[in-house]
Amino acid sequence: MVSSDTLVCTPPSSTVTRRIVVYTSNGCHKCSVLKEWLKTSSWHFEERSLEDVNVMTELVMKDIVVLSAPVLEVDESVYSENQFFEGNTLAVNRLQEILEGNGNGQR
Amino acid sequence: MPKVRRSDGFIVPWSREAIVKQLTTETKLAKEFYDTAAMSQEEAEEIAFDVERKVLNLRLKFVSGPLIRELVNNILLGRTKDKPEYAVYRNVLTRVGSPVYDAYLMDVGQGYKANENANLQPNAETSHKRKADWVSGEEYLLLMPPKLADAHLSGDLHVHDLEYFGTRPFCQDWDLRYFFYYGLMPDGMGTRTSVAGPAKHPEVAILHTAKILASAQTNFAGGEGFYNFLVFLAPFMRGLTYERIKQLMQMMFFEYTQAYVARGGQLVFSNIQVQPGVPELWRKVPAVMQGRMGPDVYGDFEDEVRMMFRALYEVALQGDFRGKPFNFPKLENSISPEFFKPEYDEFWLDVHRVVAKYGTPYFDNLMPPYRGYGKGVSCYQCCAYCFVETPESSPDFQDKMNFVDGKHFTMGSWQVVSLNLPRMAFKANHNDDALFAEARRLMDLSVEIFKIKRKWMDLMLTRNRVPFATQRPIDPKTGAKGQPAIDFDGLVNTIGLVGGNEMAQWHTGYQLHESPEAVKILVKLILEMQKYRKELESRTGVKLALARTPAESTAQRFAIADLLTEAYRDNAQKLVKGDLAKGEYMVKEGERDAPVYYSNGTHVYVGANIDLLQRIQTEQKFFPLLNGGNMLHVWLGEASPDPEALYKLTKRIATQTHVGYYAYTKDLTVCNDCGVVSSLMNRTCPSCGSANVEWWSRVTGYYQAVSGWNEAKKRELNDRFRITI
Repeated sequence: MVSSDTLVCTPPSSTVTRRIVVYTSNGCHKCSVLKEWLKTSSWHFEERSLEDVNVMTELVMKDIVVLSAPVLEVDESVYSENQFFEGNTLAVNRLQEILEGNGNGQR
Repeated sequence: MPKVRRSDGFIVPWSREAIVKQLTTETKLAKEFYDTAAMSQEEAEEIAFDVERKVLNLRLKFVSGPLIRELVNNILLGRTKDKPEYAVYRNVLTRVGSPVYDAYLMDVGQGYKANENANLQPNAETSHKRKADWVSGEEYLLLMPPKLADAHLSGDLHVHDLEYFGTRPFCQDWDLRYFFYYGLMPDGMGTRTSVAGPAKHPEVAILHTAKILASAQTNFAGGEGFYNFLVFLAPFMRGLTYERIKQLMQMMFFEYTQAYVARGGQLVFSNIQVQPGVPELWRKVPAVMQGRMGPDVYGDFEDEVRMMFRALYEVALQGDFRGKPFNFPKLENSISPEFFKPEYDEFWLDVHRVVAKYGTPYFDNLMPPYRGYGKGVSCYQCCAYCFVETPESSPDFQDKMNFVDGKHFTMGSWQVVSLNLPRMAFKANHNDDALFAEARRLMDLSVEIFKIKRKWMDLMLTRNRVPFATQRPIDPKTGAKGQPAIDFDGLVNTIGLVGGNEMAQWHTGYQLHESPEAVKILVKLILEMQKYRKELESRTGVKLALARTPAESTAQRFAIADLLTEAYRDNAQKLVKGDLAKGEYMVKEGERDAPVYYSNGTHVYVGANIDLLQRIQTEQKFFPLLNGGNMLHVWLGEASPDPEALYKLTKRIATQTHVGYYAYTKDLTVCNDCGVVSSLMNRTCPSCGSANVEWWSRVTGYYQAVSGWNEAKKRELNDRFRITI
């Protein structure tokens, strides 16, 4: 589910290139919602599976604790799903702030 | 034929039929434990005839029962080539117990596992316990499939508390409300001991808590504790003055530390979870006391909880009559967002005054989001095991919260099996996949051991051998049978890790404090193990947790096992910590209490010359990964640390790291002549100059006199890199 303001989402700025990684797990509905929105909004991202021990190892080595999927990494900052979902609804404004580099993630 | 001196204390005439009966009766255990049919009458008669012929040839006037048994076993072993089931028969027919010389050594406080557990006290009960431990340990290994027994004996893994394997679950955290509603039946049945109704007075409530734990310890092998200790006791404190409450807290400490009632003359290994207020989760829950629920709710007793907390720490700061710290109950301080605010500073400073003086308190840090504070109930208990119950894990969670129909929380473990991580690395020979495969193999073996444990426990439950745990007291209101004290289906099985540092050292060439590569392989191994744990749980239905186990003797046993085994000796010599030369010499001489060890759990080597921040940076990574519990040790090296500085450090650890459980350890010297307690480990008493002193420090997860520690732990104490705040 996404909130209604997704209908007026701002496309990514052409002048900013961000490294975006979406960490997902099997059967995760919110993961699908996030990926779909990013695709629709033309953000390029890499998907990594949290089921993959190598992926998890890299996160642990960065002291990132994954409580639930999806996890979003933008450049060097990592965001947990409750930072860009409101319940089951994607909080697009917050997500856009994160993607524009104004979020408060773990580094 | 000679007469027979029997173990039952009589001299009886020779009887071949008695041997036949013994063989056909006792080999029935082969069916029960090995699924091998019992010996037939014809086979038994044939063997008895052979035994008779051998005895006749010995031309003895008397023969002992044990000698006849050995002759039987000798004949059985001689025939195992043709009849493999005879090896099984030998396992169930052999005797268990020690040689006379070892029994003598146990009488005088030496020999077999003399210092296996520092909580064992030098008294006659302990001699008795160790003899019983010997018999029981051998019995349970003989009644296990040989591949599992050998995995333990060879040091691939360690079955903890083997002496209690067939008779008791491991550890348990209890819900005081149960006893404040139903009353206290120490025998669990009400027919062998007196039965007390629900406590009405504060003194009785406190005394009941001590007797609950003492009774519980007769049914469980490990630590016993109470979560929400002050909150559940608070209703009894209404209207009492601070001085009275302080007196009650003092009574509690002495009751918990003066009764040598448990597991062969030990103190009960006790824990209490304490907070400086009533947690939000419990504020609106009806209080249980005097056999009723409500009308008050726990939130009404905020002032009482606060007073109890202050009083508890005032008494803890004072120590005993001589000024020694109270080593039990372990004070498990819950640090949670609602109580970690400036208005609680004075409470936490009280705690840190005790830390500064003695080091004894523990910190259960619920601040990191992964601990899920407020979403369920949890406790750290025993040496450092973590248990959690949430609405997701327990369908009756809300009923348990509200004590509906007597439903309540019980959190604990069936059994612990620890794995020898350095040996995994030796076998893997620097290959990651081989390392993970070996971990999975040992986890498979652990699950087989847990299943056997459960079979034993089902037998004990059927035979009502843990009656305190299975008790169903009469409901004071309805007269019907109440809820069982323990929900056995909720207990977990714990797989422990020992020697993570040395595993990484062998695999990567670096210790945990020397390279991120070393940390990374340990992280990866645990993640692989967690992944496999989930798979095993869904495949077998066995509830599992991964943990850092205390490994008080296991860290030593694995190191010795590797030094003893030719295939691993050369590798182990490069890794084991402690005094290798002395250790090797002792092992060669047949001694087993040698000053060598592996690092415990996922700990950085205790002697690593790094600052606390670096240690935390490494060790914090493992806390969210070990769902069964973990612990950070802060070894203090100064005589008089500043309580405020310690509190500041606690704030940093609690709010800026993933560390979920930790304690500060301060070494102490107790003078046996003048009784004065001084800071640090002094050769002589600073007060009277006597050299007759005893050191106190924290061994794995509790304080105890160093003289009772095993040689490896004593060496580790010497190796610890201590910090100043």
